[in-house]
Amino acid sequence: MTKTKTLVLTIMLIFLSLLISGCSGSGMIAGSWPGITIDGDTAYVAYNQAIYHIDLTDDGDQLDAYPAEPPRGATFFHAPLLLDEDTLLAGSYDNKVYEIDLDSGAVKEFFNSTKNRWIAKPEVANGLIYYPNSNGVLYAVTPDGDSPWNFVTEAAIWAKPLIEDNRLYLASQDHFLYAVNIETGNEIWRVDLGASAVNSPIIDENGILYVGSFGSKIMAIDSSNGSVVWETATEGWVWGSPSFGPNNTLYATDLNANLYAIDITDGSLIWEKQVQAGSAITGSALFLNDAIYVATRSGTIASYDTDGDRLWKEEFGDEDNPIEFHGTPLVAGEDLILVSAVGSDSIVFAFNSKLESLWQFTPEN
Amino acid sequence: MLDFIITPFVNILLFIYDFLGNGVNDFGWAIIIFTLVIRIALFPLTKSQLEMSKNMQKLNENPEYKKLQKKQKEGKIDREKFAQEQMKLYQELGINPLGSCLPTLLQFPIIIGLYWSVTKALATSPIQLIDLIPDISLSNASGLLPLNSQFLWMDLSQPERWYGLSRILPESWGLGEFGIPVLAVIVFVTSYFQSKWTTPTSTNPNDQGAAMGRMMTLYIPVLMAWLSYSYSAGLAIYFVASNVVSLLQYVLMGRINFSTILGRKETK
Repeated sequence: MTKTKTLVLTIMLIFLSLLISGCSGSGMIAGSWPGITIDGDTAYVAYNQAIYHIDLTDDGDQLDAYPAEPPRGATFFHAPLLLDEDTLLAGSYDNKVYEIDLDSGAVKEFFNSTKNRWIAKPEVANGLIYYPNSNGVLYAVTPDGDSPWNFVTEAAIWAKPLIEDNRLYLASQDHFLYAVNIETGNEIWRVDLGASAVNSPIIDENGILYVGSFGSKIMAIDSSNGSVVWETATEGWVWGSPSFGPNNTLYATDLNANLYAIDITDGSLIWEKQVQAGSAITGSALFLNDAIYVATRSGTIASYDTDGDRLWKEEFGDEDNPIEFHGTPLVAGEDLILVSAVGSDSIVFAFNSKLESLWQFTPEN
Repeated sequence: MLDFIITPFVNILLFIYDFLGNGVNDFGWAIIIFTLVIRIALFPLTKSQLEMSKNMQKLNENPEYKKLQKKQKEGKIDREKFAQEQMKLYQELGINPLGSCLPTLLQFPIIIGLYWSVTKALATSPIQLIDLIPDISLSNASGLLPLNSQFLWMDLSQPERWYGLSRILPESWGLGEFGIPVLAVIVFVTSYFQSKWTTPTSTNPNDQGAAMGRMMTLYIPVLMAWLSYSYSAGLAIYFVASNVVSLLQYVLMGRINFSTILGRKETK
């Protein structure tokens, strides 16, 4: 019986170890979805330990994988930044930003001044790289890796900054949208969104910003002074940025997998469609060739016309092998739509505008 | 797998966090308070487990059992006969052989669920946050997120390191940003003493259970310290709180003899 007890204790210990390390291992579970940067006829796809260079003209063939020797513990998820034709910048979940030489595949630390993850894609303007970090700080970084200034918010920043007319607009999870001078880093104004925002605002030609938040609303904000022009309620929390459509229409999505068409002049709802019940949309809607495209977490990609009538819908995965689509569908060339996926070996799905599946990219080992 | 436990636990954690004011330090306190509540709720199981393990210890000290073990070792009786005789002894002494394991097994899903809910609530990546959001049933959930993960000197969502030393010591010492894993050390120490002080000792050299217990006394603290070193500080806070509460419970039950702690006497 002592042996039985010993066996039971051993099994319990192994079970405990597996449960604990399996449940919490940040390195074992993908933290995000693939980030895609399109560069002409090719794309760079950041996912986990590698950044894959793929050929968009030839069935998504893998051209290369970077870095040649991945740094221990580094994982990449945000769309990488092409600093110049030979250099890629990629922030990692190991709290470092890496500079990758595309000729040699060599990697070196570019920026290492924080103790938190790089989740948002940076933006470049004015000779500086504006890099938000999960520690709530936006760093202005020179191409040499020096930081002349930074801008501090009270919570993690997962949204890419928007730069327009010497100003930077930044949504933080501290519930505020900030306007910042891109030369000095001084705050111009801030507006309380009432809840966290993890998406970038967009701006129209009249200087009106549009941003969605976890407060289940889309807000229009005057960029000149930060005053709220209108706000429109959504059913679910908003993860993706709104996007512009034709005839003063704004398209928005939410985590209840709804797609909204909103009149940008007054925020009134034109139409609303549920794309997939029980699912979520974590990206923006893509407007292309008079159609609106959205991808859901349950592996559905659908398109609608400007009246809200569904044109095409394709579903991938099943209950046993679920495939999740995340982020915003991206357009490459004239008729190629790319969607990030997790849950399957393929991490990028390619479609034409009729949502016919063209190819899927599976990283080569 | 344990969603039926994790989801309510996440909501209770968030409720406590909200009740405390959702400011700096509050999530750390929410973890500590919730751990305290859970450990108190599990107290009857803990007590039962300790009583059963005490009975098993008595068995190992039993002269008849020792004789039986000796006979088996010397090959005078086969395994089947040994098992039969052992079972008779169990019945005579009123021992349920799985009695000390069963309460532990019952506690397992709850303790793992608590551990998991702390990880889930801290949601430090997009996928984690998307998984968390549908599980939150508090009406003011959107206003609560993100959780303020600051607790004392640490960010509960990150592996804990204390950088105070590198700030105090001269730069010429070259320590740079050298962080000391203070919590991992505290977890190791509290886990070690919790295991050591609560594992029954045995004078029976043939007692494999006691040997296993001694092994666990070292393995479990190392495992816990490694997890605390590698994963978010929120989990390490949970480990420390859980260990301290366990120790206090054992003290209240009279299971920790302070003269034993000082090395003068064996635990009874």
